[in-house]
Amino acid sequence: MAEILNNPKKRQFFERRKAVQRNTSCQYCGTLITMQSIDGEHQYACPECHSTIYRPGQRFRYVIAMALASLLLIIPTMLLPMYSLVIFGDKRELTLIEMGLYFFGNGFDFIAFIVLITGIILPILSQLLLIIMLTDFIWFHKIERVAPLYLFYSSIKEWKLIEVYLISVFIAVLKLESMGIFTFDFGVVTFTLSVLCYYIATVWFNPQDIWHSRELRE
Amino acid sequence: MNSDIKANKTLCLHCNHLHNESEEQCHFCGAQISQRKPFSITLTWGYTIISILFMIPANLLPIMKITSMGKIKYSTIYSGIVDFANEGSYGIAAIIFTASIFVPIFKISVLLYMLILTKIKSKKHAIIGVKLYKIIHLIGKWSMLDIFVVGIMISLVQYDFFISISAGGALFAFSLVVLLTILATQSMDPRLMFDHLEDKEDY
Repeated sequence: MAEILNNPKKRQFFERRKAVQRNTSCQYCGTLITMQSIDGEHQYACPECHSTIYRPGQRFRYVIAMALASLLLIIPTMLLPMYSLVIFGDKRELTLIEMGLYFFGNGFDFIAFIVLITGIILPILSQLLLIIMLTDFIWFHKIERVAPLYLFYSSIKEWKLIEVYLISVFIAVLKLESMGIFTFDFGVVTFTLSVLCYYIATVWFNPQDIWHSRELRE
Repeated sequence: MNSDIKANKTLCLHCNHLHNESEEQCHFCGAQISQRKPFSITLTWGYTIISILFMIPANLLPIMKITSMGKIKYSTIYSGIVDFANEGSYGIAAIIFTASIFVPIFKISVLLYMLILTKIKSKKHAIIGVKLYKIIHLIGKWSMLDIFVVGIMISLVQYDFFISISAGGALFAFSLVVLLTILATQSMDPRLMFDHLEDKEDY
């Protein structure tokens, strides 16, 4: 039996629906676990290693809303400059893509590739996948269509570094401040908001709820 | 301890469903499944050893070359931290030190600790190992901070004669260290520390 952690907030997703029992095993220590009732009110932990096994996620429509907000905010981030630096009267402005692209053609193609893929392309792709996958599921309830998308989403989970990119933008500011006249542009604000929405969407989304909601509906 | 191996069950790590041992593909999400991550110990040892080897050039070679009015200054990871500390920005120096030096060394130490525990079975230490594994899983990617910072500085500070920055060899080595430690964390299966625990008399 799994340990039940107290979760006093009632999750609306599971209102007026039947609770299900589920057998699984801990991915950290291999212990077989039975979760007594998945009803959106309880979190479960492994009795051996005390790792959280299941924590109810937020309603899918809220996850879609956050992912959409993040994607919409990334559009002005790409177009507007992030900041500008003036040294001896010469001004340079930089957008998000230019930061990643500058490495190409300077002998560091490998790092340029890593920065672009992990910092920009994969996070945007994952938000797009989340929107397509969850909208499809809410409308059609067909697991067969959602499963391949979810598999790809789960495979790229480790490689999304957009929040590291955000913090590095702020730390680079502190190094650049001493070099010349430095000003923030609006791109930084939209980038910060976009990453916040992305992070909230990722935390709110629990993929196991896809299968739990299916069991509940049958 | 009732483990999934003793019950002949396999867990799909993507969707957390249990299957019978004989099944090779998860019929919920379509992923390839196995009782334990394939070649976990071999791959983790390989990635860890290579990342240790690459730590040497990452710390010795310069990460940035700053050319200012004809004067060239090479900056390594250490000298960057020391410059910040001398200017009085102890907070930033601490962040860069944590992200570039402490985190990679901590990750490699935890991976070695877990790999040793797969041979020397001890339940008490295995539970500590699981907690440490979750920590390195979370903070692993933050070592890329320094690489992104250097990348941003190189893209922005290109003022020809007055001041320009270009990348040094340590950038390549350090990014490899971070990538390899992320791969090592991904390939490591913490359940291997708990397998065959009951074969020992007292655990």
